[in-house]
Amino acid sequence: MNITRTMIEVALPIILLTIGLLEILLIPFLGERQKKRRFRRVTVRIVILLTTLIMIVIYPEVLNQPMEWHIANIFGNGIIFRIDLLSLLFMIFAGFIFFVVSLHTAVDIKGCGRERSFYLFFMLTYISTIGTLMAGDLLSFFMFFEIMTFSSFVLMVHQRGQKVIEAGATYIYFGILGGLSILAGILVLSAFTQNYEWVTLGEKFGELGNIKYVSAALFIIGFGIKAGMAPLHHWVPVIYPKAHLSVNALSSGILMKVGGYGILRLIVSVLASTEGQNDVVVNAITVSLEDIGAIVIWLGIITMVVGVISALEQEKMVRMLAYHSVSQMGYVIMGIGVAAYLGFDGAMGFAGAFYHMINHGIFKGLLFLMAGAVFFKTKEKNMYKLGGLYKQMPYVATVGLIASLAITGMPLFNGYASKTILHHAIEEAHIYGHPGLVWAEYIFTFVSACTAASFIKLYSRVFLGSTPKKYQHLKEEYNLGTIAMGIMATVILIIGLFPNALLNHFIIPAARTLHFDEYFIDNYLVGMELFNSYDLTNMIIVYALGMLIYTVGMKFNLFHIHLPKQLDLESDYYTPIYQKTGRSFNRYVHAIENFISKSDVFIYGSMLLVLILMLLNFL
Amino acid sequence: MISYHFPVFILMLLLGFAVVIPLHRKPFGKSFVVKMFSVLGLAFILAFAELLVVIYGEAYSYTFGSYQGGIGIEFLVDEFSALMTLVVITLSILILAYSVKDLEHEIASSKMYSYYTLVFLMLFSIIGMIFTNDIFNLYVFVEALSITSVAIIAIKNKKDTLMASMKYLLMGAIGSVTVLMGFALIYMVTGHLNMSLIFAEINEVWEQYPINILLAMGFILTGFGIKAAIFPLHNWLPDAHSSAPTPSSALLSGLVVKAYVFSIAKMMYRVIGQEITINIGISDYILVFAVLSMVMGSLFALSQTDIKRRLAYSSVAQIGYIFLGLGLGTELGLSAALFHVISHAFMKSALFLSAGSIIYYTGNRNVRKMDGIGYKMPITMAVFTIGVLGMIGIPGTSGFMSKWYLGLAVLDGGHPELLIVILLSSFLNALYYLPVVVSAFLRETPLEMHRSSLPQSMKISMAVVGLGSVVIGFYPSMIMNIIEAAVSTFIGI
Amino acid sequence: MDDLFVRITTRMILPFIQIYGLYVIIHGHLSPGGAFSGGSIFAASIVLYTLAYGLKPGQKRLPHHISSKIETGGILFFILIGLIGVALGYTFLTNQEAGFPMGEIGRVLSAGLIPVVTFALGLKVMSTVVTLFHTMMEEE
Repeated sequence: MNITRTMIEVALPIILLTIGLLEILLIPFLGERQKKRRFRRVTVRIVILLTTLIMIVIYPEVLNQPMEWHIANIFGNGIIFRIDLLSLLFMIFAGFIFFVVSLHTAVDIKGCGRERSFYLFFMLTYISTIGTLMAGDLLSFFMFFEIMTFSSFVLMVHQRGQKVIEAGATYIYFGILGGLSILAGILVLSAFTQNYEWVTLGEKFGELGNIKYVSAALFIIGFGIKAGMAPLHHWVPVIYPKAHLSVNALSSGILMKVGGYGILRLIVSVLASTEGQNDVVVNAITVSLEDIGAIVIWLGIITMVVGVISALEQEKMVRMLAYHSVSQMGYVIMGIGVAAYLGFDGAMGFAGAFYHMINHGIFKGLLFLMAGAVFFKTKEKNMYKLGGLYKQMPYVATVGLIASLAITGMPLFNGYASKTILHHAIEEAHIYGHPGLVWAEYIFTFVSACTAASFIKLYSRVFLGSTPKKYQHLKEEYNLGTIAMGIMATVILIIGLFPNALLNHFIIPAARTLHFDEYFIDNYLVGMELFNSYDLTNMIIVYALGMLIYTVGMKFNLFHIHLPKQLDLESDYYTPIYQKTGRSFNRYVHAIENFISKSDVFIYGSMLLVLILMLLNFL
Repeated sequence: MISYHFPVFILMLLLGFAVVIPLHRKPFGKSFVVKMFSVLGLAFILAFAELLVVIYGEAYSYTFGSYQGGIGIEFLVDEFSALMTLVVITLSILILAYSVKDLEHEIASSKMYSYYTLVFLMLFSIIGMIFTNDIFNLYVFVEALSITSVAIIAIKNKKDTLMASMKYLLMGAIGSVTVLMGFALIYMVTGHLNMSLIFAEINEVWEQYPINILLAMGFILTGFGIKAAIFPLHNWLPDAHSSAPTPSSALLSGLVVKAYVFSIAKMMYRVIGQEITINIGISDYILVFAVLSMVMGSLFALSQTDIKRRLAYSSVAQIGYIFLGLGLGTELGLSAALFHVISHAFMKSALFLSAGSIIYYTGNRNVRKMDGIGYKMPITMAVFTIGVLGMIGIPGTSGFMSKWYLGLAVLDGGHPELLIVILLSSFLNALYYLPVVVSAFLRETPLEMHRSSLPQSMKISMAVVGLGSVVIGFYPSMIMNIIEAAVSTFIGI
Repeated sequence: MDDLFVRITTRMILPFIQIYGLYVIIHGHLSPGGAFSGGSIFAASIVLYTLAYGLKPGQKRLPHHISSKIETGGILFFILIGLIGVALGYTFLTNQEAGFPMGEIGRVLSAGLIPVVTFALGLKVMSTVVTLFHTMMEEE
């Protein structure tokens, strides 16, 4: 035991990364034969499980204080790994989602070719995600973030068609833009604060002038692209329908959360830096955080609304779920905004955002897996063409029901807890902050109702009603995918029945270490009674409103209204513009190039003349 | 005392071997290759020993003929010159190792010996330019470099190659003459040809003859600008670098252009000094042209379909980065620019060598037709991907570290808006490099493209260049420490 | 060209041109001239011979293997002389300190290594100009 303890204390991140790297090196050498393939899949799952267990094991250590490791001499400044409660829970959660999705890949990927490259990049994404969550300084964070973007791109385009690669191009360009924006933020910050650790960045934050808004804006844009924040969410509905559903579950489940984690980490480090500072600095920090927080709240609200309205219009299952991902991440972003806005009293927003990220990962993952199972059997993506599948696929129907109830926030399912906490958070924002935020609360309720309506539509169209002729002979298959869905459904129920468990073990200790106001935490968060009448009545209002929206929509065919083709912001609009600008751009460039090539002496003479005249100006 | 003669030993070794090559009578074969690499290996050892001498000792100056500085020719051996020489020799070993097999497809076999003569003479001129401390000596080496670098393009006897090399030669000649005019103007007012002595005099002279110095710097900047491919004067570069044989393209893009940039840096910081540079405002004008290079180079690259032309325009953009660092006028900017000189040399060589391998293997130069090559040529595409990742600026490659240092230098120098330009240019780089990588790995090969299989020597040399780029990316402090020590002597002396 | 007059006149003048060329080379450190101009004058003689008698006889006068050896030898000689200075402890191309005989000013045998090097380079320039001329004539 002692050896393990010292080993863990010395080099845990290295151990985790090395185990992953060994697996990566092993994968290409396992050939294509049946037995070797199964061996490879099994090793992938075992590795993920192993690393997750290691992470769980160090929980009591991290509970005391965050663990740090310095690895010097690489990149000129050394890499720092830092695991505290915030990252630890995300890492365990990441391990969990990766494990469950790897179980489900038996359904999706087993038949498709090129398994080697898929699992290779799967493991690479896993390692880079863990690395991103473990990183203690901005430089290594950025490195792992970029690796994660590139390897998830390869996963997304695994289907290798012409359209898939074009959609993937959108994903990777957005990803690179996000990465560059984060790099700009890091550069601006480190140029002014001369170092790169998350912990100390906050210290100087208060002393900076307006430059901190620029840097915060760059960070929020960069992480927002990853998290699917509007108006930068365009890549989500473009790439999700084209990728495998396991990859969608992965992306929605954990990769988008890394974006949210980034913004959360930024806000939390700024708050943490106020320790031991004098009042003036603390004031400056809280004021700037308020401004940033207000903007983030409204960005979150816009995201929620855009996501859910677009989701209501969709016919294809996967696109609808993609838009719902955007919308739910809007909830999370709004929660983070509240945490920033209220500063030290923002523990409720922090808890809500954190909790909802975890819950959303689980139920959205389950929804994608369910859609995957349905698609695998029926080969149909349009929900209006399906129906009555509860007879043919009872198991899938049950887990689908659990997931839909979770996302809409039914009590006894995990979504209820996080949505309630978020609701409390937004209420506090308009009670303790600007009263104009009460509209934010109304919109929050409206969006929850629309979510309910949308899932009523999905569930009733796909599973209830009468079955079309061609699906009547379907038989359900029980394989690893069903086990995966079952695990997730069970976790949903457990968290739903015992919501305070997660709060007490992870979120509240995290909030305590992150310098939120103790009094606030003790009074409002500890032992929060989630099943009180106020919240339950809220839920009833939401469901009633949802039912109303659903019936009205179905009656008057509102769900088929699309914006006219000219205003449609989908890729039907972007693509012709891309093509036309591409062609005219090429023409202009070739014209300019010819001009420049054929008039060398003219350019030389003119440049010389211009330079000398400009220099002469100095006298 | 023997340790101080290293610059001369290296130069004379290269020159001596260059003139011995034409005496070989036998057809081009293994014995010659062995001889060539033993000479290069010896040069490498000498350069490495020199670097160690300078790092653990101090910078020194070496006068020819035991005359003092003002009368004789002087070589100033400081840390960066030693490092740059080592980089030049290392890269030339790798590129020449690549070229032994590659040139069989590109030039006539009777001209192989001439090619290597020219390459050695070119290396002689580059190393001379790096070391020299005398402006007329600099001019001599510039002329030698002009001619030999044109010759290694023109040795491939195709129509577009000949036209491109003609254009390069003429524009280079205009550049040399302009530079000479600038040097003459400086000599006129200061009376010295030695850079350190000019620097000592320049401050008094500046008050008396300001217009003269301005004109001189204007001429020198334009002249060297033509050869170093600053934006409006870069038009010879795409034709020349894309139609040349692959090892020549790599040598030109990686080493020759950098030698001229380094000469501009020497003129700006060692001859007329940092103060006057900033006072005149040369730094600001270089910044303008640098930004134009960075953006326009990438924009032009977007619409090219020939892969080598795309790489050549990308060179224009990357040289814009180096000028950005120079134009900031601060120590940090100069260090970042010098770091990028070395990291770009490795990355661009890797890219050109792998592009050349693709052309060797498939006979196809069109970017749109490179689907699925990644599975047929994994090592080549891996090296290409490393180069691409470096150009975009992914951490772990040397390109990221140079963008990092440049970003910090830009913010330190008080031009934060240029940070946006750097990142925009990185994004444009991604726009035209990533589709090549994506289509190589993620699409299916339409038909059999195999023309001739890749020899081992080519693969190994490419892989080493790519590896070098990654190593610099992980341990940039090795090089950055040397550069920072050099910058203080550079600006001080 | 095939003219009889030109041939006979060439045969008579050639030695004098060559002596004049050698004179310019050797007196390079005393009077205007030196390696390049003297070498060109020397080369002019062979060019004249080629013009008068045709390409093949001209190439026999200075065949390729001899010219390449002269060129290589010229530069190697220059390097070696420079390295003498290094071997004796001074820097490259050292003249007086390395012990080359200085002599009196104004005499032919003075100024250390300069006449020696000039001679080697003059021969080299000669062979280069002739080779260039022959290569250009071959192209047509």
